[in-house]
Amino acid sequence: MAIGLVRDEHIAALADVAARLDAKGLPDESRRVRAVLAQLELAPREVPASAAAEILAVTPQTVRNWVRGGLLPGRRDRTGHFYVSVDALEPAIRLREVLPDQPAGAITGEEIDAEIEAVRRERRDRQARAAGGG
Amino acid sequence: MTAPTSSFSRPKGVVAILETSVLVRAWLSPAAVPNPSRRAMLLAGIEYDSFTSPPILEEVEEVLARPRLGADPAHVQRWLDAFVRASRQVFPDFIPIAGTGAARVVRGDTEDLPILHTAYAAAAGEYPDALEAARSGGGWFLVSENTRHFTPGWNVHGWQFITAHAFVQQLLRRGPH
Repeated sequence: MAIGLVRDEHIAALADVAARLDAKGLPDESRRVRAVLAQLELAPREVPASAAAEILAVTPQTVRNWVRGGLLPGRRDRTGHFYVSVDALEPAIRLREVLPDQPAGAITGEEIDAEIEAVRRERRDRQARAAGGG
Repeated sequence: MTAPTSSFSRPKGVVAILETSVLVRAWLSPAAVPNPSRRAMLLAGIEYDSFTSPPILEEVEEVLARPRLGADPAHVQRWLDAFVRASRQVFPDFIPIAGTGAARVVRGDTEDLPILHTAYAAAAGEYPDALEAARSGGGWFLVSENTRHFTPGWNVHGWQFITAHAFVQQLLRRGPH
C-alpha cells in the first residue's frame, strides 16, 4: 500500500535513534542503523501517478493533468511515465494513516445533520444559561 | 536528504473551508470508496489551501463524541491534528458576524455557524498570498453539506457556498485536459 512510504519524519526518527546509540556507547548498533538510513536516503522520494492517485482518491489521469498543469509537484520521465513528489502528498498520507474505515451507509446524512443541530442547540442552551446566571 | 516541503510553500490557487457537516461525513466514510467529503479533505493542503479554526474543530469533536456516533476521542484528536497540519488555522473569536450581510444569504442563526466566523477571520487574517492567488484563480469556497442553512452557489463576501461533491469536481477539472 502506498501509504507505507518512508517519509522525512521516519528518516529523522531513525537518525535520532542512531545518535542515541552513539551517545550510549553502542557504535556497532549505531553503524547498522546508519547503514539502513543511507539506503533510505538514496531511495527515490517520489511515487508513480497510480500510487499518488490511490493516496488522493482520484484517477491516475487526474494526477497526470495536475502534474502537467503545475498543480501537483512531479515530473514526466523520458518514457512518458509520471511521478509525484512524496513530500507533496504528505498531508493526505498523514490523514489516511489515522482515518477510520467505516461501513457505508451506517449513518445517514440526515442523522449526521441532526447530531450537529443537537450540538448547536446544547451550546445555545449553555450560553443562555451562562448569560442568565451571569 | 531533501528538506521537508511545507504544504504551505506555494499558494494553490483555490481556498476552502470545510464545514462541520463535511468533516463529520469525512470521518464516517468507507476507506475503499471514499465519499465526497473524505475526498475533499484528502486534497487539503495539496490541491487547495485549507483554512480551519478551533470552533469548527471543537464542534466536530463534540458531534463525533455523541452516543449515536461514538468515536474514540483520542482517535478523533489524532485525525484533527493531521488535518490542522494540512490547513492554515485562524482564530475567529473576535470577528463579529452581525452586520456583515451574511444573514441575507444564510438561513438560521448566523452567529451559530463556526464556518462563517472562520471565513471572516481567514479573509481578515495573515495569509494574503493564498487568498490573493485564489481570488484571481480558482476561488474561495465554503464547503458544506448543510443545504438547510446554505444554498450552494450563494456568495458571502467573496466566499461561495458549495457541496463537497461539487467542490471535488471543481478541483478535478483543474489542469490541462
